[in-house]
Amino acid sequence: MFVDGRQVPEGTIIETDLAIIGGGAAGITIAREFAGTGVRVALIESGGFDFDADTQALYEGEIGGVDYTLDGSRLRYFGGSTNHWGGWCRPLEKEDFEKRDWVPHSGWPITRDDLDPYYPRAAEICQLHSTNFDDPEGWKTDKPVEPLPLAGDEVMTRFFIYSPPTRFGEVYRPDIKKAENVTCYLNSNVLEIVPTENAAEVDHLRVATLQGNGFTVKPKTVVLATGGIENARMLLLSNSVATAGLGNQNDMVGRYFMEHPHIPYPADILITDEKLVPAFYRTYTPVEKAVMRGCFMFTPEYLARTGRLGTVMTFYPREEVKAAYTPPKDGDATPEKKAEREAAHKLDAGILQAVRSSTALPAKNDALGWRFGIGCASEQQPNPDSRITLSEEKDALGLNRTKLTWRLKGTDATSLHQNVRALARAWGGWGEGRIRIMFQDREEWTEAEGWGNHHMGSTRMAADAKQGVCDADCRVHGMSNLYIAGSSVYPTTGTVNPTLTLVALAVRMADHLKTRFANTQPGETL
Amino acid sequence: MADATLSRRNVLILAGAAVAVSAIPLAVSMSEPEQLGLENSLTGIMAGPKAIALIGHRWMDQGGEQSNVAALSRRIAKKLRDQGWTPKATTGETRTAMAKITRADFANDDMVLVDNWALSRSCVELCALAALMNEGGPKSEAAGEAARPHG
Repeated sequence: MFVDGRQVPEGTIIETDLAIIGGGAAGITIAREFAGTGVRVALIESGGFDFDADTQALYEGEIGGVDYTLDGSRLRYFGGSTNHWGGWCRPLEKEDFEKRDWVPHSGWPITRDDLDPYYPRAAEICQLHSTNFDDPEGWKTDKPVEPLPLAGDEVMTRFFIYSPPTRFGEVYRPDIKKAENVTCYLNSNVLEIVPTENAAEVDHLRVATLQGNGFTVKPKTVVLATGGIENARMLLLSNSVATAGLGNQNDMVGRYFMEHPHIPYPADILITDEKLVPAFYRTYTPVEKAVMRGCFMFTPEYLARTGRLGTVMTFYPREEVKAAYTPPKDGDATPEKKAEREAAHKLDAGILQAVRSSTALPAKNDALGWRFGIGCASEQQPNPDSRITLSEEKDALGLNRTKLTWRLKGTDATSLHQNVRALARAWGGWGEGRIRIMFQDREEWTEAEGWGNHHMGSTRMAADAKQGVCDADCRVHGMSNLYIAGSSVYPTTGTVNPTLTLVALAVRMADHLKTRFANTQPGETL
Repeated sequence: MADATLSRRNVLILAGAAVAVSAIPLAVSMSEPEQLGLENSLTGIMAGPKAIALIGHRWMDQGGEQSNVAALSRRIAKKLRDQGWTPKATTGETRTAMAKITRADFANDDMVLVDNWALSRSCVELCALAALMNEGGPKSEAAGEAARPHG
């Protein structure tokens, strides 16, 4: 059921078994997993059912490092950031969970095998209609799904499967509404997670609305699921007992913030024949009941051999290149612009003719080939200096705003640049295409060209409390009943979009908590 | 003692003879007709000489190796021979051999960046050859070259 927090009388104390802070992908998933059980669940959501500017403004904050948008990269209402999610889904690779000697601070305390049982359920929740991510021959299609035969062992074709995308707030609202044991408090902001005197256990949550009324939630167990930035902020704000914030006894909360740097124009491709590129590489392609898209990733062997971080690349057709240059019909272009276009065309034509003079056959007519564009997302190295702290500025609830200092390293840029070179080797060795390397190496990477709205790492998972904020079960180190859900627990990011994995982790957490509830005596705190 | 001492004149004579002897293999391996045959073979695989000459010019303009037609064609020929190519090869056979050495360049990361396009070194050398030959040859527009017949 839903309750508008603004209607809850001041001073009300709500007792519950499980409090979930945040009604986004992770929070809604866990709440649904508990629907129909005997566990009382309070799902506490800052927003309502729709976007509200005042609530959204609570996300504003201060930027200290690479330029970023704190309020534009997430949404604060029921369904959370799935309300602007693109729907790209793919599990993390097996190697993403492993400790890689060439990636400092890498290694999860769980393996891909630990998460594999939960990916199918996560795929169902994300409405993928398939979990066939790596076996194109397994798809029943009229035309075989055949990856491009690129040369060498460095680049591989992999597949994303698209969520519609699932707007969790819309799709799962009926489930929450009818679940008698689940109460979702809308327009309700948790001000602080207040622990017991020894800060080893959550005692209660202080909750308030923007209209001014406040109430208390007393849970047996708490799941913090407010997103990859806000999770860290909430732990830091919860400092009335533990002055450094909850789970922050080792100064780890907020550190290791990571994104997937998105480069809109890292390379260009010229290819002799557009038809050589199957449709599934270019756009959303239906197969059976699912929708998939092919992309390029880099093989684990190549990454290990060269000490690189991963990158995922997609590409799309831009324009045909003919031998004869035909100026576009826009009379407004300056003479300089016109000359620039003609020169660019001559270069393209020259490259394609060079391809056709070596590894491809001569053209049979005026059509020399096609220019494709590439987009990419790259892994960044975990960096303790890339962090979330509290700003001195206060929001409308009187809470310190977020200060985000996102930092990238020169080695992150080197890795991406070298991966583009590897792509050039693979395409050149195949023979029908050539790559123009637009993303250049650099000593420092101080300005992001783009990002994925993927907030990860700031409450990282680690077996050792000195190395992370939560353990392999996502329970906050040193606390008995506080858990963290969402991509903030990722020690490393992999290269693919984080939502499917965070939903899988949420299902896994629900299983874990169900077991704990089942083994707990009445009245006992988890 | 006097016999054992080389006069300045004798040194010059011997040095000249040495130079002449060292030039013999080159002359033997690449007679003028063969040189022309090689250039023709390479010209035969150029899908658009004017268009690829642009790439060659760009490479040289950005500091790529400066050379001449004979030296470049010999260098390419050496790589082609390593693939079993002979001056009597057909254009198709020459193309196949060129494809092999180009692919080998990529496999060995022997790439040259021309306006950031990652090209194989051998292919760029072919483009440079086109550029140098184009300088002395008849001018033709890139337009329409694609339809030019190829062997």
